[in-house]
Amino acid sequence: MRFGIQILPREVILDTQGRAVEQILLANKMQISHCRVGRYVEVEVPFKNEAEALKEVQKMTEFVLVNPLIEVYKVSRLPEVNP
Amino acid sequence: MKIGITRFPGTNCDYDIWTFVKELGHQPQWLWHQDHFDPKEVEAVIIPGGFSYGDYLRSGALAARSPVMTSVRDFAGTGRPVLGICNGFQILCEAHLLPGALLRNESLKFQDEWAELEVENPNSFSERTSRSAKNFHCP
Repeated sequence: MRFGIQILPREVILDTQGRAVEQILLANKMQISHCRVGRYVEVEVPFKNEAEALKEVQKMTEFVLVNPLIEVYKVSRLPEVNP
Repeated sequence: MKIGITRFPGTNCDYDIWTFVKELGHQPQWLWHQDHFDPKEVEAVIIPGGFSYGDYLRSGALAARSPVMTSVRDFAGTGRPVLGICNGFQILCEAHLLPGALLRNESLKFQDEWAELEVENPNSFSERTSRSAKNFHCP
Protein backbone atom coordinates (compact mmCIF):
# COMPACT_ATOMS: atom_id res chain seq x y z
CA MET A 1 0.00 0.00 0.00
CA ARG A 2 1.44 3.36 -1.04
CA PHE A 3 1.27 6.65 0.81
CA GLY A 4 2.56 10.14 0.18
CA ILE A 5 3.68 12.36 3.05
CA GLN A 6 3.71 16.09 2.42
CA ILE A 7 5.89 17.98 4.88
CA LEU A 8 5.93 21.77 5.20
CA PRO A 9 7.54 24.19 7.64
CA ARG A 10 5.08 25.49 10.23
CA GLU A 11 3.46 28.82 9.32
CA VAL A 12 5.12 30.54 12.30
CA ILE A 13 8.55 29.38 11.15
CA LEU A 14 10.42 31.69 8.82
CA ASP A 15 10.72 29.64 5.63
CA THR A 16 14.01 30.90 4.22
CA GLN A 17 13.97 28.49 1.28
CA GLY A 18 10.45 29.50 0.29
CA ARG A 19 11.39 33.16 0.55
CA ALA A 20 14.52 32.71 -1.58
CA VAL A 21 12.52 30.89 -4.29
CA GLU A 22 9.81 33.56 -4.08
CA GLN A 23 12.36 36.35 -4.60
CA ILE A 24 13.84 34.69 -7.68
CA LEU A 25 10.39 34.14 -9.18
CA LEU A 26 9.47 37.78 -8.50
CA ALA A 27 12.75 38.95 -10.02
CA ASN A 28 11.79 37.04 -13.14
CA LYS A 29 8.43 38.83 -13.31
CA MET A 30 6.37 35.78 -12.30
CA GLN A 31 3.11 36.46 -10.49
CA ILE A 32 3.54 35.01 -7.05
CA SER A 33 2.28 36.20 -3.67
CA HIS A 34 3.64 33.47 -1.39
CA CYS A 35 5.87 30.43 -1.65
CA ARG A 36 6.74 27.72 0.85
CA VAL A 37 9.22 24.94 0.32
CA GLY A 38 8.85 21.56 2.01
CA ARG A 39 9.52 17.92 1.36
CA TYR A 40 7.57 15.06 -0.14
CA VAL A 41 8.13 11.43 0.85
CA GLU A 42 6.57 8.35 -0.74
CA VAL A 43 6.48 5.08 1.15
CA GLU A 44 5.18 1.61 0.39
CA VAL A 45 4.15 -0.57 3.35
CA PRO A 46 3.34 -4.30 3.37
CA PHE A 47 -0.26 -4.10 4.70
CA LYS A 48 -3.63 -5.22 3.33
CA ASN A 49 -5.69 -3.16 5.80
CA GLU A 50 -5.68 0.61 5.18
CA ALA A 51 -6.22 1.64 8.82
CA GLU A 52 -3.28 -0.50 9.96
CA ALA A 53 -1.11 0.78 7.12
CA LEU A 54 -1.96 4.40 7.94
CA LYS A 55 -1.10 3.83 11.60
CA GLU A 56 2.33 2.47 10.61
CA VAL A 57 2.95 5.36 8.20
CA GLN A 58 2.01 7.90 10.88
CA LYS A 59 4.31 6.13 13.33
CA MET A 60 7.31 6.32 10.98
CA THR A 61 6.49 9.90 10.03
CA GLU A 62 6.50 11.04 13.64
CA PHE A 63 9.55 8.88 14.44
CA VAL A 64 11.88 10.52 11.94
CA LEU A 65 10.30 12.10 8.85
CA VAL A 66 9.11 15.28 10.55
CA ASN A 67 10.37 17.41 13.39
CA PRO A 68 7.10 18.49 15.07
CA LEU A 69 8.79 21.58 16.51
CA ILE A 70 9.24 23.11 13.06
CA GLU A 71 7.18 21.08 10.59
CA VAL A 72 3.62 19.88 9.88
CA TYR A 73 2.59 16.99 7.65
CA LYS A 74 -0.28 15.49 5.69
CA VAL A 75 -0.55 11.83 4.67
CA SER A 76 -2.51 10.69 1.62
CA ARG A 77 -3.17 7.26 0.14
CA LEU A 78 -1.73 6.79 -3.35
CA PRO A 79 -3.03 4.53 -6.11
CA GLU A 80 -1.25 1.19 -6.41
CA VAL A 81 1.30 0.81 -9.17
CA ASN A 82 0.47 -2.08 -11.49
CA PRO A 83 3.33 -4.57 -11.73
CA MET B 1 39.16 8.75 32.13
CA LYS B 2 37.66 6.86 29.23
CA ILE B 3 35.94 9.15 26.72
CA GLY B 4 33.68 7.80 23.98
CA ILE B 5 33.70 9.45 20.54
CA THR B 6 30.78 8.65 18.25
CA ARG B 7 31.32 7.94 14.55
CA PHE B 8 28.60 8.12 11.92
CA PRO B 9 28.96 7.93 8.14
CA GLY B 10 29.98 11.50 7.32
CA THR B 11 31.51 12.35 10.70
CA ASN B 12 34.64 14.48 10.45
CA CYS B 13 37.32 15.89 12.77
CA ASP B 14 36.89 12.70 14.82
CA TYR B 15 40.65 12.12 14.77
CA ASP B 16 41.20 15.68 16.04
CA ILE B 17 39.05 14.86 19.04
CA TRP B 18 40.82 11.51 19.50
CA THR B 19 44.18 13.35 19.59
CA PHE B 20 42.81 16.09 21.87
CA VAL B 21 41.47 13.53 24.35
CA LYS B 22 44.80 11.66 24.34
CA GLU B 23 46.80 14.86 24.80
CA LEU B 24 44.70 15.69 27.85
CA GLY B 25 45.81 12.33 29.25
CA HIS B 26 42.50 10.53 28.78
CA GLN B 27 41.65 7.33 27.00
CA PRO B 28 39.58 7.75 23.82
CA GLN B 29 37.26 5.05 22.56
CA TRP B 30 35.32 4.93 19.27
CA LEU B 31 31.57 4.45 19.49
CA TRP B 32 30.31 3.11 16.13
CA HIS B 33 26.89 4.36 15.00
CA GLN B 34 25.48 0.86 14.43
CA ASP B 35 26.47 -0.44 17.85
CA HIS B 36 25.13 0.02 21.34
CA PHE B 37 27.55 0.54 24.20
CA ASP B 38 27.38 -0.01 27.92
CA PRO B 39 26.83 3.44 29.54
CA LYS B 40 29.14 2.32 32.37
CA GLU B 41 31.96 1.79 29.87
CA VAL B 42 32.83 5.50 29.43
CA GLU B 43 32.82 8.61 31.61
CA ALA B 44 32.08 11.20 28.93
CA VAL B 45 30.82 11.15 25.35
CA ILE B 46 31.83 13.50 22.55
CA ILE B 47 29.78 13.72 19.35
CA PRO B 48 31.95 15.29 16.65
CA GLY B 49 30.69 17.39 13.76
CA GLY B 50 30.57 16.77 10.06
CA PHE B 51 27.67 15.69 7.89
CA SER B 52 26.23 12.58 9.53
CA TYR B 53 24.28 10.46 7.05
CA GLY B 54 25.00 13.11 4.43
CA ASP B 55 22.75 15.59 6.30
CA TYR B 56 19.85 13.80 4.55
CA LEU B 57 16.28 14.56 5.68
CA ARG B 58 17.31 17.14 8.33
CA SER B 59 20.80 17.68 9.73
CA GLY B 60 21.33 15.19 12.54
CA ALA B 61 17.88 13.57 12.19
CA LEU B 62 19.01 10.16 10.98
CA ALA B 63 22.01 10.00 13.31
CA ALA B 64 19.74 10.85 16.26
CA ARG B 65 17.77 7.65 15.61
CA SER B 66 20.77 5.34 15.16
CA PRO B 67 21.56 2.55 17.67
CA VAL B 68 24.52 4.35 19.28
CA MET B 69 22.28 7.28 20.23
CA THR B 70 20.00 4.99 22.23
CA SER B 71 23.05 4.28 24.38
CA VAL B 72 24.02 7.99 24.46
CA ARG B 73 20.50 8.73 25.77
CA ASP B 74 20.90 6.12 28.53
CA PHE B 75 24.35 7.51 29.27
CA ALA B 76 23.06 11.12 29.49
CA GLY B 77 20.34 9.88 31.82
CA THR B 78 23.02 8.95 34.35
CA GLY B 79 23.93 12.65 34.54
CA ARG B 80 27.35 12.34 32.96
CA PRO B 81 28.58 14.83 30.32
CA VAL B 82 27.85 14.66 26.59
CA LEU B 83 29.49 17.21 24.29
CA GLY B 84 28.03 17.81 20.84
CA ILE B 85 30.14 19.83 18.42
CA CYS B 86 28.55 21.43 15.35
CA ASN B 87 26.64 18.59 13.64
CA GLY B 88 26.97 16.77 16.98
CA PHE B 89 24.96 19.59 18.56
CA GLN B 90 22.32 19.19 15.82
CA ILE B 91 22.18 15.45 16.56
CA LEU B 92 21.59 16.20 20.26
CA CYS B 93 18.71 18.56 19.36
CA GLU B 94 17.18 16.00 16.99
CA ALA B 95 17.55 13.33 19.70
CA HIS B 96 15.66 15.70 22.06
CA LEU B 97 18.54 15.59 24.50
CA LEU B 98 18.72 19.35 23.98
CA PRO B 99 15.62 21.53 23.58
CA GLY B 100 14.67 23.24 20.33
CA ALA B 101 15.50 22.82 16.66
CA LEU B 102 17.94 24.48 14.30
CA LEU B 103 16.79 26.53 11.33
CA ARG B 104 18.61 28.05 8.39
CA ASN B 105 19.97 31.60 8.77
CA GLU B 106 17.48 34.31 7.91
CA SER B 107 20.01 35.88 5.53
CA LEU B 108 20.93 32.56 3.86
CA LYS B 109 24.53 33.74 4.24
CA PHE B 110 27.33 31.93 6.00
CA GLN B 111 28.00 33.71 9.28
CA ASP B 112 31.27 33.54 11.11
CA GLU B 113 31.65 35.66 14.22
CA TRP B 114 32.59 35.51 17.88
CA ALA B 115 29.73 35.16 20.32
CA GLU B 116 29.46 35.81 24.04
CA LEU B 117 27.74 32.82 25.64
CA GLU B 118 26.23 33.09 29.07
CA VAL B 119 26.99 30.25 31.47
CA GLU B 120 23.58 28.98 32.61
CA ASN B 121 24.73 26.02 34.64
CA PRO B 122 27.90 26.58 36.71
CA ASN B 123 28.38 22.81 37.04
CA SER B 124 28.20 22.10 33.35
CA PHE B 125 31.01 20.48 31.42
CA SER B 126 31.60 23.50 29.19
CA GLU B 127 32.00 25.89 32.10
CA ARG B 128 34.70 23.71 33.65
CA THR B 129 36.42 23.42 30.29
CA SER B 130 36.44 27.17 29.75
CA ARG B 131 37.30 27.88 33.41
CA SER B 132 35.36 31.17 33.24
CA ALA B 133 32.79 32.16 35.79
CA LYS B 134 30.09 34.13 33.95
CA ASN B 135 30.63 34.33 30.22
CA PHE B 136 32.23 32.16 27.63
CA HIS B 137 33.75 33.79 24.55
CA CYS B 138 33.21 31.39 21.68
CA PRO B 139 34.05 31.43 17.94
